[in-house]
Amino acid sequence: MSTIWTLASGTFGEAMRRKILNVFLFVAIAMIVLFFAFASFSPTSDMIITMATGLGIISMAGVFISVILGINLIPNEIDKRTIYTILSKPVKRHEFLIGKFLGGLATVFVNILLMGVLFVIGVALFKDPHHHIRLDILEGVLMIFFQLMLVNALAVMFSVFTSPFVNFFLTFAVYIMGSMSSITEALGGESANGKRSAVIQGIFKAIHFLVPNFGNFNVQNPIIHPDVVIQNMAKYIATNILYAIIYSLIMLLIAILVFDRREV
Amino acid sequence: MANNATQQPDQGDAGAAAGMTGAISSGTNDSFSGEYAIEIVNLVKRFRNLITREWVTAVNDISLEVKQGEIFGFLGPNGAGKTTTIKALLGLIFPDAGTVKVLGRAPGDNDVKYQISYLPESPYFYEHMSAKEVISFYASLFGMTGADREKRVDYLIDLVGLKSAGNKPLRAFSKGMLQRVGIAQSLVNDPKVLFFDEPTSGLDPIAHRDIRDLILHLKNEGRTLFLSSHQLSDVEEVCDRVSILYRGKIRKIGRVDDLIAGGKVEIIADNLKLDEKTTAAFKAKADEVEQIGSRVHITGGADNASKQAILDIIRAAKADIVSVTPTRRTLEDIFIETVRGGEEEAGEALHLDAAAGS
Amino acid sequence: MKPNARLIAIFVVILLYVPIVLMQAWIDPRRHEFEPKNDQIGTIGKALPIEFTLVAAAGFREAIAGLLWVRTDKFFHEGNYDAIVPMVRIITWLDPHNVDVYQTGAWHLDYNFTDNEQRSDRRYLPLSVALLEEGIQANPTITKLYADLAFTHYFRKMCNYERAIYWYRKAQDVKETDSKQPYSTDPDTGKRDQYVIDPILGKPRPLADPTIVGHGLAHALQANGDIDGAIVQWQHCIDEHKRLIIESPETKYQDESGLRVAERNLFETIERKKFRTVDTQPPINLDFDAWVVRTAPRQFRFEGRANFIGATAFKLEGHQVTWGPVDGARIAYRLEDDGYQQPKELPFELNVALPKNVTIMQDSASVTHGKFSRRANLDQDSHGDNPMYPFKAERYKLTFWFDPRDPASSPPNLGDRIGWLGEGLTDSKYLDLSGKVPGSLQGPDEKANVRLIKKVIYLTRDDIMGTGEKKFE
Ligand SMILES: Nc1ncnc2c1ncn2[C@@H]1O[C@H](COP(=O)(O)OP(=O)(O)O)[C@@H](O)[C@H]1O
Ligand SMILES: [Mg+2]
Repeated sequence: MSTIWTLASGTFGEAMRRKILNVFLFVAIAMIVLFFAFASFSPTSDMIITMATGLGIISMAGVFISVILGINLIPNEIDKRTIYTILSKPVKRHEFLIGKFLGGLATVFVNILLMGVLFVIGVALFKDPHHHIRLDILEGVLMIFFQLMLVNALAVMFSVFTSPFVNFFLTFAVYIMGSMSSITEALGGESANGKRSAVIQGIFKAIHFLVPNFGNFNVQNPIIHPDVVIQNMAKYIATNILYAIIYSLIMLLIAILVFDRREV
Repeated sequence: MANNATQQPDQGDAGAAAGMTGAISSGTNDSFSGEYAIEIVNLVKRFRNLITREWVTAVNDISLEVKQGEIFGFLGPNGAGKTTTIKALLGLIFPDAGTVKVLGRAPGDNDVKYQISYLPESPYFYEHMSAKEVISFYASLFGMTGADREKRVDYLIDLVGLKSAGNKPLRAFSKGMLQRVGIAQSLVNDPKVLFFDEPTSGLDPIAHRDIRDLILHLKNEGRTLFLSSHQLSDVEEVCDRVSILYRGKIRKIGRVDDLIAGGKVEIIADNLKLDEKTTAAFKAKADEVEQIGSRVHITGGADNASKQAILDIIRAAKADIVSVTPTRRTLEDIFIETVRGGEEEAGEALHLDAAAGS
Repeated sequence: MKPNARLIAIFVVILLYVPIVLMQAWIDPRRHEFEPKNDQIGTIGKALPIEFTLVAAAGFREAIAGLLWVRTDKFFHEGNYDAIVPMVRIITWLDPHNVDVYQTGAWHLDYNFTDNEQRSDRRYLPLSVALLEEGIQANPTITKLYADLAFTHYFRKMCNYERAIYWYRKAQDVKETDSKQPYSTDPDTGKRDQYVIDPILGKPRPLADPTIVGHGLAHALQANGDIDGAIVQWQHCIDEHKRLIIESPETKYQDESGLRVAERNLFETIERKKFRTVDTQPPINLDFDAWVVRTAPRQFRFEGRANFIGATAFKLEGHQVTWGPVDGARIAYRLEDDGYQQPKELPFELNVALPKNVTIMQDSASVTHGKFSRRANLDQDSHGDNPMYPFKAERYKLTFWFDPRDPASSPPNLGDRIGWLGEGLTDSKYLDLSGKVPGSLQGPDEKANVRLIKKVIYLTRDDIMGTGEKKFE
């Protein structure tokens, strides 16, 4: 456990000093623009667009951070040969992998949280006429984080047997596919005109249930529209968190299985 | 061979290992009492070139043992298979055939890892950390904490001569300084067996000398060292034994003195007339005869019989013997010899540049 | 890793997919509360430029919807009505919880598009209803939407008081607690949590505003002739206002003014109930007639007469109230292709299949001194690619009618003479007891017992297109 902790904090320190912070800077600028760009609309529209765009920017920046970080976590160690000195110490390969993953995750978490807090403060200062601290925004940020945890696990899983270049496209492809939950669900279900063959339907059903469903995590809607009541919101969020954790566990287990046999 | 645990270690080497570990060790954890620290039996490792899709046999059926307390020089030109062998010993890669053991256990065994260490070729570390932080990081991997860890880190930083630069981030470090950090990290756990891969390659002469001194220091402490290099001069002073690897095969193995002693003598004679008779006589007994100015340089085998035979010819010619010098053989000479003598590669061109290396 | 450990790990990976699949099956139906329905996605993709679709898919769905909505508002101000329907369609698909879009979108469709001054195109009415019904389905706790739909049925040229009452009552059923608790139907059990107890107040708290929903329901009940129901409802509103003045001091002002209105209305309704049963008898004979004069091709004067003598005075609590002039009744008329059936439902789709080449014109004229006359130039909107009045049919049906329930047609002073449902009026020729209101979306309202006045005239295409002034009756 202390080994994993050491590796995770080392990874976190290394990652936090990387160029990823540039993404953060970009987001900060985008948000400042956001806070002043739409001031000409009606207050309702203005708030909706600000909320939606802000959360969207955080989510997208988060995906980029997670992918770039995730695909490089392991290959960087191999490229820079730091892995040799680490794995020749009493570090088991799975400890190494988990440590790297957790370090990357902590980096993502801190970045996302900073962006979220920045956004909450920005909304309170510039957008909300009553200057309310909208903590429900952080609820959405939390879901974004768990989505990113899954993105990170996916990227790490691919990174143990593909190059970062291939992995970049692979992870993004799966991310996009998984974000289209509604489409895969629809294509995997009964077609209205019965035109879809059972085979195609089966393939989409398999994709829908087996590919990580990133679309599940988008809960920004009720935050954007606070009047809207979504039934069992807490249960939905809890289920999705559990989903993210279990799915990440699957990804890590696969990664460990492959990495254990991998030559470095 | 594997279960030598009950046998007494070889006297000479055990003497070095006994009680001389004081300087660095904070108490070696002795659990293995076998004779050999490292055993390699019929190791084969192939790689596939990702572009040409051709298989390369990096290590081709090698066997060797390194005794506890021995400093072993693992020599060979670039591409010979040295790093591959070391990685196999550390469990970083997996043999295609054969077995390797370190301290009697399969590579990658976590218990063994507590007692060994690895200094890779041109090591890199987390750049954002300072030298102290890096060493501290590695110490943590051994479960060290608190004041113990701090003490150990300070001691090692001092030992490798980085005291003044200990808090600078590694980003600003030269190659030689990084190598020092590498050595410090390799000593964190007071290891019994150390694997140093090309520890001096690419370093400036001062760093080179410092690191050689460090190795000598380790040698005096009785640790087992497996030292790879492509330059014999780097290791001959420190190694008890060396092997020469070429194209994945061990071509020579033995004590350094023997390897060098197996060389030539150069005999310089004055007032020697190279007439037909003398030339023919030299041709039979010597390897090379060359007229340089007024003197004649004759090169021949260093064994007594050949040496005496050449001297006899000179004396018979009534010439003066100016000097008899055993020529120091370079690694290149040995490579050339090995390859010339090699059965498998007979007829293959030898690329000296491979031996000269970077 | 030992071979055994590997096998176990592989087994665990396979095993862990079981909860994943189960969770996904649980999540799927619930996910749609946040996003467009499955069958809408493809259409969105076709309707939106690819970059919009991509940006929307990248987590900016609501932002894209919001920006499109701002754009739609511009279309409205530019008078580009045809662009609004598909825009509203896409926006509500992208973001089914943007309540503003349902409300304002429906308002465009049922009011602005059908406004007398701008368009008399009633074909959008079923769309408006469909849009609001969809909005309610997506946002079952937003009572504003129920109230809007009810008001559309009540007032906006639909005059379907049964439906208005139905939706007002639905809105009243909506309750909530302070926390975000389940409100819509649970996909597992199909059950609705009807009355969740307010954790703070300890009793159900209405989400429905007593002014918007409560007063609206009372008016609708009254228009439907259910005077007793209206009285009960006014009393209910009064109770609610009083309760909320105490319980929600932050909205006190709103409820205090609501209370004043409700108290006055309750009083007046009780009074009217008393004397309308007396003062409306015997029924006045309206001696109604109506005709149309073609003044030029596609240009008309809709004219007629009706003996609408409203009550001039009535007693309230002993003191006399004098009404103004008797005028104020409005006669509605509708010109449409003969045999045209107003679709009862029109699904709100991207490409709304509005009946093409159909001519429908509806308007009303006010009666002054027993006469009415109103000009209409249908020539200006009869040309171009998509004319509003194409006049393609051979025969046209022109209906004039009067609906005593319609608050816009029958002001209170008139009601005081002719009664809630027209009990105080009659006509030897044109009295109609069928309950069929022209252009109604819901068909005949048989229970209503309403006494309509109705006259139908048939015109040919030649009558419409002909030159020279001609009167048809
Ligand atoms: N991962 C690898 N993939 C392909 N070929 C490799 C790999 N590692 C080493 N080789 C090849 O194996 C041979 C031996 O390499 P190496 O052990 O690094 O030599 P040395 O350390 O003696 O210079 C070389 O021909 C090298 O190209
Ligand atoms: Mg090497």
